Amino acid sequence: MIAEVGHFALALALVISIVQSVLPLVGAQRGDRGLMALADYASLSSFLFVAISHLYR
Amino acid sequence: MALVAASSQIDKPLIYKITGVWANHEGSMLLWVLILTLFGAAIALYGANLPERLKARVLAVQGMIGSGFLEFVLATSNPFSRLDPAPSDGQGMNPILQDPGLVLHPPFLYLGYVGFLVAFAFAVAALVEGRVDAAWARWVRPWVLAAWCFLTIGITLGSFWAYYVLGWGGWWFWDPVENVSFMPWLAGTALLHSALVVERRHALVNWTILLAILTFSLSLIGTFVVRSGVLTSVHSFAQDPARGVFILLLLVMATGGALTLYAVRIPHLKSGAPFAAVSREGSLALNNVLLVSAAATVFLGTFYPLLIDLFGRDKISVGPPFYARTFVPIMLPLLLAMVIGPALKWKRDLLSSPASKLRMALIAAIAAILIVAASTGGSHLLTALGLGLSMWIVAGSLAMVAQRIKLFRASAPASLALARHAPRSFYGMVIAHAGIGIVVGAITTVSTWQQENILMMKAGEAASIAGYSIMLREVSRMPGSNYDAERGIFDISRNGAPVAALAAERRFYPVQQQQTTQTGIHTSLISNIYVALGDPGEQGGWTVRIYYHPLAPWLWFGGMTMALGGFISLSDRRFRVGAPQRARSLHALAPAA
Repeated sequence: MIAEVGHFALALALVISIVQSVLPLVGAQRGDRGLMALADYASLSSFLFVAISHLYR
Repeated sequence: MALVAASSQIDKPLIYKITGVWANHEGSMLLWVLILTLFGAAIALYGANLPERLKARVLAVQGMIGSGFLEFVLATSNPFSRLDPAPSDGQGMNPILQDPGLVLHPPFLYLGYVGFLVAFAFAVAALVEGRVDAAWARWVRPWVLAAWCFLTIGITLGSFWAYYVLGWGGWWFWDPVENVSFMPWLAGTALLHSALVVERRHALVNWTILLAILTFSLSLIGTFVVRSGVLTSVHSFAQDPARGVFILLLLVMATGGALTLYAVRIPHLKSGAPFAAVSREGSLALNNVLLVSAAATVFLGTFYPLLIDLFGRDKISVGPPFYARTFVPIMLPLLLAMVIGPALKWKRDLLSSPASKLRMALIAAIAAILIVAASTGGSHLLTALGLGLSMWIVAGSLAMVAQRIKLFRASAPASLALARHAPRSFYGMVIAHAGIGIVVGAITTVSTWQQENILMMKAGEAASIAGYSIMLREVSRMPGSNYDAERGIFDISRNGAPVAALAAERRFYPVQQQQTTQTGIHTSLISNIYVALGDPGEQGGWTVRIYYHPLAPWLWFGGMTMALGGFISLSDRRFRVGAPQRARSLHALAPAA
């Protein structure tokens, strides 16, 4: 079970990273503050999930 | 799990069970991603005073590289793949990696590489934005500086590890694995200096952006080379290319994308502030040209043999003689100039102005050259030159401090006050530069005066090196936690007086069927006596390699001094997180008060 937790966390981090690499760029181009602020939450949570995957190696 | 089984075993010391995470490919990539996302989180947390758009774009670029690596880990190097049925014990970690030096080496290296990713993200974000200003450089500089410090520590640790684990008596082999960490260091050092010009004078802007892209690309190349297995054999890589191709693709997309963006956007970027050739900017530009040329030389020496191997039938070996003829001549003017540069004024200066400031350093350097040349009877002119350069850099750094605090030109309390008020970035620069001087002196000394004695020894026999007598007292069998060792005890004496006893081991790891050496090193802080126990001979006795390395400890001491200088610089008020914001809010308060 433990290995799957790590694997799943890593997959989640990937999805978040993809969101992080697209939406804030759009936000910066359009001047949409909400989308820009997304970058912060995305990078914090992707770190969280990678850290979790490290623990459940 | 496959990863744990492949690189761990039950009776492995605990610390190596933990570091086993990054001792293999999958875990090492996991560590890379962890540091990458950690830095992203740090920008998100502490970047409150960054312009909103810039921050969003920086994090987006960071996210792109992050998703690339995450995909890589999940697709080709899944560290979580299960083994069925579960094995009772693992294959154990590569024994040569079960060493304290390796516990810290990879994380520091990756902290450096990923730190350069932040500079890369800032560069790409600036290209998208079409704007680079002093604030941009102020933000990039601490990241580059921190990355540079970590990489310096990583390389120093790696060199030390190679020295005492490999048992070959060397501290730098110009091995491709070393070179690929050295290239980003050279480019990163250039970037560190050019970003300074952007911050202070808003010059070299385009070049700095390009350099940020190149530095990170070199870091990616380093990862590719080490992780793809292309080095073990280009042919085995070609047979199982999945991993390598993925990183290569990532490299092409990141570098290619960034360079394309650079080509499209660079005409819109303003780079102002002209400067004279003889000026601080001029010297920093020279520093950049030389450092990048040096990196290019190492690049050529590292990859040319691989290309030849891939396309031709011949194998060529590029070793120390190549670098002695190409890399060293590029470094010589750089070492000369690195003392003069900080003594020049920004914008425009005369060569006579550093001449008067550095008179004492010049005298010290010339004296060092003459003394060494005379004492060796003129037979070691290159050595004399190297030691003169080392003296020039160390004395020149001290001269900068003396100049700054008006030593002997003002009253003692006034000098003290000036010393207290000098910014930490100044001291950091001086210390880091002095560290280079120390390394240059140590390299010159150890390369010239090292001695080696390789022989067959039986218990009770003695060998001599550099005035020391080294006697093999006994060789005994020692069971270790996950290995069997033969341990040789050596008694070192000088003129009959005992100096120290050394233990050198030959370890055999039964799980991996692999043998390693554990060298015995006696250091007097001035020199090292280095003993490695080799294979047993047919008529009894053992092959023993004995080395005498004068000033060898100063190699790593110098490297650490450089990193220390960087960290002191980093603690400067200007770099502190939030400092610009505080300054701004004070500004806002001023009219009200």
